[in-house]
Amino acid sequence: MSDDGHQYNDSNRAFLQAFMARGALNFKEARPILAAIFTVHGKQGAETAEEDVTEADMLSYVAAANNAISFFDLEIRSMPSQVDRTRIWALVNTTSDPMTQLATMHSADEISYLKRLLDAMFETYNTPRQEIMAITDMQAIKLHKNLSESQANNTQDGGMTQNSAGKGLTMADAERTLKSFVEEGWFERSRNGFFTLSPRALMELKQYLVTTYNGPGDEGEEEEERVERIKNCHACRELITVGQRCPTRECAVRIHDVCTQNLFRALRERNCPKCKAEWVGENYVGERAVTTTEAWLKGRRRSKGGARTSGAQQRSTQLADEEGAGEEEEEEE
Amino acid sequence: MPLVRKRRAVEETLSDEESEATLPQRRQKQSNILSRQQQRPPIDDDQDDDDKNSDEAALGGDTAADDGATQGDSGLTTNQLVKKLVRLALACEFSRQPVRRADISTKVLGSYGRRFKQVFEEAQKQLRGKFGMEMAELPIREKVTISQRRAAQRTDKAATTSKAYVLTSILPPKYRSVLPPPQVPTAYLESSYVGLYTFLISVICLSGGSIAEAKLERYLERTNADQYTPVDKTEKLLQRLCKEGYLVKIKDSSGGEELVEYMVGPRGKVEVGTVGVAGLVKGVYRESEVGNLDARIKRSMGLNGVGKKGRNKEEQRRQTGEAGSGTRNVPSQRRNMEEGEASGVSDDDE
Repeated sequence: MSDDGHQYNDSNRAFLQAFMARGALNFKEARPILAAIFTVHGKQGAETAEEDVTEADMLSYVAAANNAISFFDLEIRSMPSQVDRTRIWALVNTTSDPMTQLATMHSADEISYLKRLLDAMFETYNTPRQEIMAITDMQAIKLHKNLSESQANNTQDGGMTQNSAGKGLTMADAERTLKSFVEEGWFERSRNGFFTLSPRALMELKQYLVTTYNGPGDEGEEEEERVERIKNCHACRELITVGQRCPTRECAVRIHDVCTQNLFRALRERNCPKCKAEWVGENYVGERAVTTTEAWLKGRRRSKGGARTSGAQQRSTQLADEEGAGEEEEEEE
Repeated sequence: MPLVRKRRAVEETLSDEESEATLPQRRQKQSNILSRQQQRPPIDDDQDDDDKNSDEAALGGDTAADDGATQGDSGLTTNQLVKKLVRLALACEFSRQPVRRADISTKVLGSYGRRFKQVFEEAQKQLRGKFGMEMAELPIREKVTISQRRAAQRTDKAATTSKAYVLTSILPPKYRSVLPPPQVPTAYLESSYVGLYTFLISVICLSGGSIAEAKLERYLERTNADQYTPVDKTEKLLQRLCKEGYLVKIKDSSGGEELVEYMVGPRGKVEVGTVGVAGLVKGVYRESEVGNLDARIKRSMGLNGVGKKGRNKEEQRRQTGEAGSGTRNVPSQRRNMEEGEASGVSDDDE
């Protein structure tokens, strides 16, 4: 244990409770909390300023907490943000059992909506051509209904929830739920209106995502290798949903933006570490796979960020722009 | 991502001596657990062969050297049951459900029903030592209406305990004040909710333990919370409060017309309790401005019987106020002032 010398005491317990209350913290957020805990924990009158709290303090408290809770299948995991590398810690439940399935504020319908959103992010909008791994407002809200496969093509949003069997949410509910996912820190919404999974959600759902989406594909028999829809960064080995990809479409190398600098400095060349193609840095994973396309930019120029044409339409335009190879995988499902 | 609400239900001011006496003991126990914890071998699934060792190492020889460790060979070890119970408690608290004895039996113990006491005590120890929390038993529902009392009399053996528990923090108050509000679902909603129910419970406590619906509505109207609150529509808020056990709604039609009253629910008693109410009142009145505040609060909540030294005016006012709580008495001037100030608090809370 790194908090050598002193025993696990009330300050550790307070830190753990703070963590449970917040779910996820980065160092900046944890600092004032730790400073306050140190202040009340320390000798009378000795105040700990926020600036005196070091990352080593935080690490030692996280380690102590982990040591205490690992027995209960809980863990504080950390992961650097994919964008700016600031580390984020999150309290994660490492096993799912009937015990802990109570621990949600969401209804079953909302959870099934979340599943549809994840499917959309990692299947519908995550194709070999465009690994968006994000979903726009419009696309997300359209998923409000619990559609069976047969109805899947009929995504006209005219009907509310008059359909009988699958139920699902009303569009208003879907919008509200989506907002609450963002407020609770599961999703992040970008300026361009794309929802992505937050680092906290990635940490908590990592296992689920990998087993669900990286398993053998639906028609996996003909594709001999297993489908790897969610890839790891070639440099840091963490999941990647925002970053850059190798210009060669078949090549599986993906690298976070921030990781590229270090990696290519070490390699002394800006080539893909695997297929040696030149790394242009203009092929993206994440929403930029859409927003850097000519079609998107054109749409923006036209409408000044207002109502956009639907994503599907843009993608199909873009398919034509690129050397389009059939749109079968792109359109909704 | 479980969580526990930091509340101040542990009596801090009113029974200082008691907590002083128990705390050091508790500390002692915790450090015992922990020192052993560090030597504990990693928990594997193939524990069967070294069951006895790991049980004793993790549970602490002093208490758990009894039957649990020796029964371990029969399948699930006590350790695993403890783990399940702790996880259940954390999960229930997350959605503000009490942990019921029946749930523990079916979800945790299964066929090991006889080990409840041992598992429960060990889980308490782990919760205290590692999380700084413990399960507090909810008080049983009071039998208020005549029909309830009659029903209670008919049953031969009245339940003496509620057999339902909620998690509370046992950290010393100085730590609780620095913890951030829980972000479930968001820090704003959660703190509004805590503020609102603390206010409502205070109003009920200070009205003598129960309040007529009409009167509560009037308080809500004064605080501009009669239609809508930051959390939800007032109607839904009250429903949620009743569901989660902060309040109890009592309908009594025995006297002919239906009387609807609100009382403090079991969770409200545990989480807020008299200490929470006293805290809120102190926050409003400040010790310096109103002398003898502690005594007055106690008196208002009926904590010590009618004062022997003859009633002063203040007390009389309280008494009459309480007696008339159901009938919309014309409030005295002083009372008005108080309510005004109380509404100030709730505005802050919102």
